[in-house]
Amino acid sequence: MDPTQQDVHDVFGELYKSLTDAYWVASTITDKDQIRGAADATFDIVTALNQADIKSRTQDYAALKTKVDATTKKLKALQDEIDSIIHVVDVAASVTQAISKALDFGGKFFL
Amino acid sequence: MRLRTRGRWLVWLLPLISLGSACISPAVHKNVPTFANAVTLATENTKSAFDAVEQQYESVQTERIVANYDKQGFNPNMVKQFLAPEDLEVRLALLDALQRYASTLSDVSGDKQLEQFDDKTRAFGSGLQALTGTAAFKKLVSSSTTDANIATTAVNALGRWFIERKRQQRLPELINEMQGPVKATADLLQADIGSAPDEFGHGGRGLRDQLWNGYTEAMIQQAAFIDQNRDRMDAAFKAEAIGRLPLLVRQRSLADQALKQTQSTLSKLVDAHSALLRAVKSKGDVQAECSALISEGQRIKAFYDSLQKKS
Repeated sequence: MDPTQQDVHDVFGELYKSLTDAYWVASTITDKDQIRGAADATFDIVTALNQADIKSRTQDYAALKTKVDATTKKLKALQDEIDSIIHVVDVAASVTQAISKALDFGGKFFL
Repeated sequence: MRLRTRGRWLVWLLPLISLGSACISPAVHKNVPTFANAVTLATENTKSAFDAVEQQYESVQTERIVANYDKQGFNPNMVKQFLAPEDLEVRLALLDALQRYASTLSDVSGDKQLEQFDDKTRAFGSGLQALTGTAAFKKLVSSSTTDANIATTAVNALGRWFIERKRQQRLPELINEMQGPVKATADLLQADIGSAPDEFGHGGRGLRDQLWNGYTEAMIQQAAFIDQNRDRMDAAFKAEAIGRLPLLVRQRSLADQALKQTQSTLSKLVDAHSALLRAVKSKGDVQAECSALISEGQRIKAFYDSLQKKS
């Protein structure tokens, strides 16, 4: 059976843990430097595995964004429909004011 | 006289319309803005999680450069980002899109548009009263201020009913449509955040693994720096450099907890969205779920803010 991505990750994770544990108990600076070099290299491998794992989902995010944007667009359309009801009353108010003004002037002029 | 009869009919009809519109969606008005705040907080915290890992990765590289400088010198290629810009951008773009959805949902279902509508009908009512009060209008039509008030109230009640009806018809459908994407987003982000390694170095992945190992790596670089320079450091500087080691151990646990809690708030966000859908359909209340989510989100935000101050 082929190893999974997590199996590979676990192998290097365990190695990194062993190396860092060894670093704290090493007694000479030379030993510590050698262990640190190996730990740094393993850290870079584990980092690359984490980067690849995160990258593997990037396409899914892009697809989801399209769906979220589509629903938001429909919500905005609903908002616009409601705004148009408000606008109708706004126009009615303007028309009423204009009629009132016209009648006022007309009354003074004709009656 | 006909206008008066119609007016009496409206007097009976309006309370019924108002009653109908009043019980359509009080839950929506109250819960959606709270939900939108919770979404903003959860998405901001998730962005901070990515940011915290990126900053920590940057810090590890700096400590490595410092510890290895005598042997390796410096090369600009030693400075890298943890996440490629295109990987980060697509995630931030989705989080922004989620915030826009929540904010638009809040705008559509909140009271703002109804208040605007009330203001406009009030202006219409004032205009109508002014019109019926003019001498010229009185000569043309026999109408009273009461009739104008009844007409204005009718316009207001009918308009509100139309607005509420549109919301009631469309919002459950749109919120339902988003249930899948909200859950899928939370699942993806939770997978990105991943898990910290166990005591054997197993099971680690994603941001939590990276952050955990990053802090361990930072401790090793710090210890190496102390070892290389122990004879050249004055006592105060040496104490400060050594004191940083246990601090890094504590920070590693705290930072991991913050990421873990961010994962948990993402699960709660999905639950809150489901509860919102149920509330919109059944006129229930999800205030408790949203409030718990907000308070947890605020606690995590405070932690990420403290990380920003440290750097």
